[in-house]
Amino acid sequence: MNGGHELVEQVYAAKTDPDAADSLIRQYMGFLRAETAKYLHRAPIEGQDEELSIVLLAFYEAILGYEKNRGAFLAYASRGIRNRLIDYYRKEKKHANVTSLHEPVQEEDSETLKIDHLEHPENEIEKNHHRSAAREEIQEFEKQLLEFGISFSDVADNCPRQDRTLQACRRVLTAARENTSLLDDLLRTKKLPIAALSEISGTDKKTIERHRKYLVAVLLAFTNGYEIIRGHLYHL
Amino acid sequence: MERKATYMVVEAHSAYAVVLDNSGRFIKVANSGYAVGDITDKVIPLIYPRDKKKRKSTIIRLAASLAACVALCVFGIYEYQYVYTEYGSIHMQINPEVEISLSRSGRVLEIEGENADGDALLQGYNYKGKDKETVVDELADLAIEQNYLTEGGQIAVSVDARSSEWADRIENEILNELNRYLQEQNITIEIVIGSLQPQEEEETKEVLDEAQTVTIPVPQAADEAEPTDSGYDSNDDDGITDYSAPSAPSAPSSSSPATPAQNDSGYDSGNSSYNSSSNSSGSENSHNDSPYDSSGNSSYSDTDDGDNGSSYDNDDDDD
Repeated sequence: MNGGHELVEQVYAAKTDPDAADSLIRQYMGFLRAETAKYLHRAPIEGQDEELSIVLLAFYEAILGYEKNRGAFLAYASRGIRNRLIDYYRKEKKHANVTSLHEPVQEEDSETLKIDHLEHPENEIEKNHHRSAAREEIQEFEKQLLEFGISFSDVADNCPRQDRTLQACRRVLTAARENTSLLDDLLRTKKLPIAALSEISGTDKKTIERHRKYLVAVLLAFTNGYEIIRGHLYHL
Repeated sequence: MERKATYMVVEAHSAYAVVLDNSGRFIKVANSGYAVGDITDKVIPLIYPRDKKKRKSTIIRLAASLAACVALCVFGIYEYQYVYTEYGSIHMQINPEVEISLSRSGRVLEIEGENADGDALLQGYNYKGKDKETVVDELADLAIEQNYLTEGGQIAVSVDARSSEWADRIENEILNELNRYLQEQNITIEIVIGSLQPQEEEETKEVLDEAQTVTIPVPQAADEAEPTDSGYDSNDDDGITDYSAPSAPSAPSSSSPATPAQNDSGYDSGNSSYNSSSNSSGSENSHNDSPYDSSGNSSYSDTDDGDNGSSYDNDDDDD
């Protein structure tokens, strides 16, 4: 009984703290593997079975959505995991007719596989080099965000999910890029100049306030170097 | 050609990873063994609980909208039928006869004259958008204006409808309305439910009613009357009272052949074909059967004096 109460407290802490969520997930990894095994009918292999990553995501969704009046947490999480996996299998069914790259090109010639005929646009060394450069840039970006008291998880939670709101945020970004003094103010004061941005972009103050963390992240990405990140954001 | 969307992993946790897509969205996705800096083109995004609630509320809203639309359609059809389709009709008779088609709500849909006076009454009358009470009041006014309806006149109202209850209710409403309205106009008009009988028909009916009244004569009257004037045979004492014709055809009875010997019929004896001697020769009973016969004979004998060619006369003479 006391254990159940403790779990609920842990769940409530994990709702807002990503580290607490990670800790809770590590603690219940056995339960999550068992849930995955119910559907795979074998022990899941970490990093290989996508079902396990879906079960982990479903468990995290259960943490975010859990309320005390919804019964025991583990039963609630189990239902969420089941529904998520059913959705996943349903989506995968649509791709059932996709042929595997590991199939032979001709039936008589079983040694030559389709994947061998694919051209590699980037070689692995270049790819690794690009990945490590991106990682460094992202870490620097993360550090700068932390100066504003923001993490990427916060930014993701604060990111607009409706297209209309995303368009409004893009207008703010465009206006800020045209008025570099506003970006300088942001770096100097560590505060988003909401009134000025609202005035020059014509976006509602409330919208800017509601997505403040997201706007700070995007504006920062366009102030300093961050060439790789800016190159990735080719739609902006 | 549009580039395929890619996702850059910016943060990796045990349960999820944060990725940045090309349009600038930061998304939490399932961590399928990602490391920071990886670029992937396929992700399984996290579904936030509030988004689930929104989806549910959207479904509920859609269902509610659909239900509202269906209800609106059903109500609209009902309302259309209630207001715009014919449910019954009022037949209004003054002398002009008019038929007023009504919807169930009591709205006047059409007015037709049922006779020439009715057509004349409705000439130039606009009934559109009016209710039944207004229309009957205005028709009564028109009838008064055009001298179809005068003090002491009658208006007959009858209602036909699919529902007899509805028809009765409308009849009463019209009756009350007309009574109230005409009272306000200080004119005395009798409003009746049903239809007016044409005057000729009524008179005919009265005559028929009178004719059906049977007057049975008192037996003493026959005894007191003189035997020669009566249609009764005074010598006949068989106890049976013979029925004579009603008092109206008094002329035939006065010239009844039952008293030919008295010769008091007023006819000239010389011109009459009746002969007292021939009548007394034993054919008396045959002539006494009908007074009509005797009068008929006399008329024939007036024109055909001494002519035995008539079948009416010759019966006796031949005998």
